[in-house]
Amino acid sequence: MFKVKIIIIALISSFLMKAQTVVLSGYLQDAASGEALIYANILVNNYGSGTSTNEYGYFSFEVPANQKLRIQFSHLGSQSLELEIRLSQDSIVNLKLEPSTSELSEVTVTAEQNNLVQQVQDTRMSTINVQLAQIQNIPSLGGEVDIIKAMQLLPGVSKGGEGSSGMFVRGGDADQNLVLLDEATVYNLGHLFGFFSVFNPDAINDLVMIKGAFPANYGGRLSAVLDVRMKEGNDQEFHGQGGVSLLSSRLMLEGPLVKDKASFLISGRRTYIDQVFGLVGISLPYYFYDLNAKVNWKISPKDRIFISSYFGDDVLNISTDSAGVEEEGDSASTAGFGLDFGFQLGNMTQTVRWNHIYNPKLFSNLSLTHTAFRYNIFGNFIGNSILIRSEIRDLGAKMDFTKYQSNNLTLKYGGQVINHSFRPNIISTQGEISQALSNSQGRLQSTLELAAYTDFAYDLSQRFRIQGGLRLSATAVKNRFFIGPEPRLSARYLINDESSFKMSYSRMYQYMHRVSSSSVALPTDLWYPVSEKVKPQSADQIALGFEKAFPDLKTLVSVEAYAKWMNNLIEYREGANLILNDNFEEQLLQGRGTAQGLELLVKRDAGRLTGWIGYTLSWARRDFDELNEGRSFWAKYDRRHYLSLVANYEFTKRFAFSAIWEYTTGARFTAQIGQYIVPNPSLTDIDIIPVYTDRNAVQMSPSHRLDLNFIIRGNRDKRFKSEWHLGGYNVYNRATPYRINVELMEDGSYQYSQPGLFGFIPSIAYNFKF
Amino acid sequence: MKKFIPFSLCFPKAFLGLAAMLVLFSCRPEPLFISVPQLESKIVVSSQVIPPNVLLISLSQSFSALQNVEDDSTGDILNQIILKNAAVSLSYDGKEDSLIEIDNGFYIGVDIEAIVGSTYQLKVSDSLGRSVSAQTVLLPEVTFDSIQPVVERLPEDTIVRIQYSLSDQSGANWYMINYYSNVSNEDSSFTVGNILGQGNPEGYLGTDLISDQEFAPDGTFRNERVFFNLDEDSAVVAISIANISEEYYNYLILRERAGNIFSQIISEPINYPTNVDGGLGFFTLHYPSFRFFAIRDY
Repeated sequence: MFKVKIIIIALISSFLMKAQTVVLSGYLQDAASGEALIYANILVNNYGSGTSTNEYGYFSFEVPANQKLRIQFSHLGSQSLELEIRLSQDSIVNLKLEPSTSELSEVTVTAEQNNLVQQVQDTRMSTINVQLAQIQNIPSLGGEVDIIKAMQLLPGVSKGGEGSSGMFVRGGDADQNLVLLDEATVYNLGHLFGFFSVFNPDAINDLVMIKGAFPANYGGRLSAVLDVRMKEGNDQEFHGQGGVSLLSSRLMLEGPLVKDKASFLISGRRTYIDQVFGLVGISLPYYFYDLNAKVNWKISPKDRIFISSYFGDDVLNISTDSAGVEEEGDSASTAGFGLDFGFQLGNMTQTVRWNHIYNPKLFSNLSLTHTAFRYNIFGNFIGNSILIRSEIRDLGAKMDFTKYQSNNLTLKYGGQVINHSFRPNIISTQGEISQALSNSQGRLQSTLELAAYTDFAYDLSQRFRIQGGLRLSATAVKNRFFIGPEPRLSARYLINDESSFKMSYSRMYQYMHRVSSSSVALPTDLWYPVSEKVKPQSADQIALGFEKAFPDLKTLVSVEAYAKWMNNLIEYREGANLILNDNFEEQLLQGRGTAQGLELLVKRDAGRLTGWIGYTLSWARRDFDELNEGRSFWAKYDRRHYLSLVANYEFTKRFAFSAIWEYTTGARFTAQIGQYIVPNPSLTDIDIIPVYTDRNAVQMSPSHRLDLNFIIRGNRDKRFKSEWHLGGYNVYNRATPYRINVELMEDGSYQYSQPGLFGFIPSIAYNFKF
Repeated sequence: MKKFIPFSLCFPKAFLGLAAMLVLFSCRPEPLFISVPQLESKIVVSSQVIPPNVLLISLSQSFSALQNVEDDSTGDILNQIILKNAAVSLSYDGKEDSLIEIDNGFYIGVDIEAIVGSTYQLKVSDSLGRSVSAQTVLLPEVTFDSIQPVVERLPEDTIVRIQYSLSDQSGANWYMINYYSNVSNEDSSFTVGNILGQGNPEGYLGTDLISDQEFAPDGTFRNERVFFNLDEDSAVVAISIANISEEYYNYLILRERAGNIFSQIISEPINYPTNVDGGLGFFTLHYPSFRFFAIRDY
């Protein structure tokens, strides 16, 4: 009887409390551009609660009814806004924050401090939101601003070879990263064999790197999520920006179609490497281009539609006229060959998104995505022609709901379906070569990847918050159905307003993999799904972290330790032939991997001096029964230490300086340590057979590099703003080893040498905005 | 074919020139040097049966990766790696025969009894006190069921198709087929002994490695191999077939896949398997069976 009374009292109290609160919801936007302000902070100062906007700039929270409230809205890079309001009923307010103009203004400082505190108080860990403004200032190869290269400077992210776009996150492989552009998967991240990323910085609004503690709405890859969101287009006035660098030019135009209602953005980039190298006598008949476009339309206060698209291609076309052989004085014979060789490869993505508010507490997003990656390789010679084509194409739909149940409880749930179509190795030949290589339509494979998820964030107390969820993923392939439960859990304990402990556990499944030799990742590598024989890869990861904000120093310190166990990882049999091989499953091996590490990040996002110091101590091993004679071996990009210093310093409004210094333990290498001679099997000749160390047993020399960039800006008060970037990559010209050669020395002996790919490269770039 | 306006016409030449100058100012870094411990020298074994009953064993030793045998004009390295004065014996069917050193690390056994299905054990010990051993089974000689060249004479080339069929032996089997052509016009010099004994890299046309998994359900295997650029008047094509062991087949498959320059560039390097206990190389006994065809006759 006593228990029943308590329950009744609790229900009545709950009802009364409910009756005493109202819901404040709406969108937060940048006043100048109309862009959604993602993960902005909202604090009710005299009520002790707060929230943040979601990935679409929407917020919803409960406040006491009929009370005078002081609500503060803040976002890094914007001036904070404080409202004093009294609400008697549920209210929708769409607010705009002015961009910050002075670093010392009180409203800007408040935004910076709130941002730091929010990061500490956030349940998410292993997640880094890098400010695009910082990335645009840091030095880069050839003056090309590159967000992937910036991500590679973060702790926990190991790069592949020098200059490459490959990311090896927390001991994972390069194909274990889910890279999304407006929620569509991007399969190939690099242009020019990976030296430049496919993301045009002018078109990007926001990017988040998640290395662990994955929210349940993400899945499909083991190691990381890089969620890149394009700008929506300025719905206030027409603007443009662009730039000219050593290797490319770019231009972005944006403006309202209907003010406050609809806007567009279009952005393009093209290289002229072919022209530049041509002027110094080097024939390089290659170029790449990108095109981003987006339209958004606010149909009603409750409905918004976004349509975005990306196209990008790399094109190489070598013909007898441009192959450079003529310069060696043999033009007649060259012309006789009639050589024509080249390739065209690229991505395209399209996304249609519909945001709908059912009621102030229920927000939904529907995304329809299409993505394709394909390449064509062609050759014509002496009456023969060959065309090799491969393609992967995804059609996906994703529905997400966010239910703001109360200030203590937010629920997310949704589902996703993706149809993957793979058509590799379509071969068309003509002439004598068709005797050796017959025509093929490739083996079309389609798989369906499904996922349903639910995720909640709940405040157990003012200090203790948990976020948990379950993602149930599955894929249907011929004669087999794989299902993978993926539990996720994160917890945060607030020591005080400025420091917290965090922990997380997550399991991820991956239903597709890149078919590639592990030595070199090529843009022509194929993606393939799991099959009757090939099981999905999975990973379990735990992480523990401590975060401390120093608001006066505008600095955040984060320390995280992680351990990861990976199963059914993919490698290929020794000597596997993957080129034009439709039956590569026979060459595939599955094994285990482990990774452990400790990461330190000291980050400063505001003030004259911004940037970060990142340090990683890590280990990554692999274990395959049929590789390395069954012995465990180090992962290729197992790097014990990695230290990066990234600094931007604003001397004056018109002059800034930026520098990167990084130190990394060398990548691992399987070195030749001996050789022997034997007759070949036909007994017609002698073969020299190399003898190698255990797989990846040798570590190349550590490398370090300094890059500098000076920024000189024009008058910033004018509508047309411009800036010059004068930079240098690898200013002290030290080699970053990427391979080991045996080199003949002056005394006639041989030694192992480690060449570097890029030495000192000066750069100049001109950027403008209007 | 689409025609584009040359990009250089619509872009200021001055900036391209500046960019080109900066490209010229770019530097290439000096390589860094690293020390890697070298492999301890090991005895290397290879073998060949020369029909009808000669066994040839070649012995050498492995050497440092920092020695360049290809530029060894004086022959110093070759002299160092040839294994001389080794004791070589072969045990089989309750007998033991010693092999005789003939020249340059070659050891020969001439009265070796060929007992198909018997296990032969090779033992080698050298003057440095190193010893290795290996064993293999002598496999039966096999022949083609049918084999013939089909010659297609085109204005620009002569295409030769070698069409053959063979029947599977009992049990699990693996086969090696080698193709050779003559280099000189003298047909008389193109013999089994010359092919196997003297080396003829220019005349080597290719190898097929076949597992009986690839045979049709009726136990037969039909295939053709196409060759271009053979002289239709003087070319003679020789084809050998041998029944080889599974481990030797796997070793050859690995060498075929990993040995080409493309694989060496893009694939992980690998260590080839060996059946020599304590050493390197491969000890195998198989009988090659030869057929010869003069192209002008077809």
